[in-house]
Amino acid sequence: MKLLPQETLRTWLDRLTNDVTLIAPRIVDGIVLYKSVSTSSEVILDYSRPKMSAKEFILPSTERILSIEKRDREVTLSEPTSADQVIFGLRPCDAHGIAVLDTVFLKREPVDLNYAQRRAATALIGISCPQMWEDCFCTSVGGAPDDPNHVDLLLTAVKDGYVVNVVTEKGKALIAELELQEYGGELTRPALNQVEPVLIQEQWPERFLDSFWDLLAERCLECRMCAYLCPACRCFDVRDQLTQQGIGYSQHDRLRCWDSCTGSNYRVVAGGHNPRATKGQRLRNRFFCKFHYIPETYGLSGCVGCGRCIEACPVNIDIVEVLRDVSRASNLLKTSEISHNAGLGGTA
Amino acid sequence: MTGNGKPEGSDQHNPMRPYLGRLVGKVDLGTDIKLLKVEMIEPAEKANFADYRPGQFAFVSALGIGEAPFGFASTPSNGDVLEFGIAKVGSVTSELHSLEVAEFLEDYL
Repeated sequence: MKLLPQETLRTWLDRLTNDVTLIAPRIVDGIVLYKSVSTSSEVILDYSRPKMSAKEFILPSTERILSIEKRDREVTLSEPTSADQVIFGLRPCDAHGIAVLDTVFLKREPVDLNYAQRRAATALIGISCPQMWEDCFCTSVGGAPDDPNHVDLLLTAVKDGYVVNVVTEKGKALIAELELQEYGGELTRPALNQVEPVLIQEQWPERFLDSFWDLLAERCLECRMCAYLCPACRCFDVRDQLTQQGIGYSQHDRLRCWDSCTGSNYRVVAGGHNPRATKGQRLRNRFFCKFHYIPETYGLSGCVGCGRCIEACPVNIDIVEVLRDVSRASNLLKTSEISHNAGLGGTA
Repeated sequence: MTGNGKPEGSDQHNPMRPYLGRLVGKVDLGTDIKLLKVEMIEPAEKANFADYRPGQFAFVSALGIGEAPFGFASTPSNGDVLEFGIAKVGSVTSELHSLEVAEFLEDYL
């Protein structure tokens, strides 16, 4: 194992800020956020889970995907380009979120080229969590506080520096010029929280018609905070905005903006029909998307277990409680089916 | 025009980048419903719309207003002109209705 000494880390980060846009955990108005930094001194290394994920640097909350220029009857279209960026200090759950975005935008044709360009220009340097924090449940959804799977480089803090795990070629290139030392010590595994039950794939469709979703939705305010904080939610809406206007001339931006399936107008179509008319249907979609549709379609969990939605929900809708309730309902039903069948003489 | 909708080393068209078309005909079908006839401007792009099937639809943009999905009202066997039967129900469709023949709109499959 290689060791990146503490003092080399700072000079390395300073060098990165010269070459690329460096995104790193930084304190903004008293809270920790992934933000761009201009010197390594702004980067904080003693942090838990930033308030927001790093999603906005890969899929911005509002992004110009096309510029439209109209001059008399001529139209010109142009697209933005992406600058190189490195996201440093990414928590493994946030990297898992980016992996979900990658599978949705890149794994199947047609590839989303706006996303592909930005993603190709981005390198991810993770830092293992020394522990699971309050509300964290990454181990329940296939992750771990020291999961190296979705980053280019993973750093794990030890005394006097960081042990470097080179995961990809991109990661290898990032540390190519660094002088690393040999590290002979052991890595201590981070302290884990209790693993929560997550239903297996086949059980989810059985829960689709439960009245549970309507009951849960009674307190949902449809504020959509959960989706905006979620590292893996990636739904968007596209709209055009006028930016400049003159005689015989106008300029417009086509914008891609975050959207959320829990919003009441998310599925409304022309004419006013809404296939997901009730809050219960919309909230159910949120959970089915994460725990059934995404895993079934792409083979990884659509929830990363960061717990941000639990912390932020103004009416305490707790995704872990939902998982517990859903699996309890499933098990209860199973038990009653078994006793029912037993009562019939076990012939079924 | 900067960029061609393709990243370096890729042949794929950017699916978020519309093809430019021109309105070549407009027919009233009833109250607030019009048949819009569209032709792709670039000859090479006509090929992208040479084969479509029942159930397929195109996103049609009213430039500067927005985009919406519309089923084809034409058949590929009738040539290059794409037809869309469009009811005026919102901002995009109102703008599409107000376009004059020979004006731009955009299309993508």
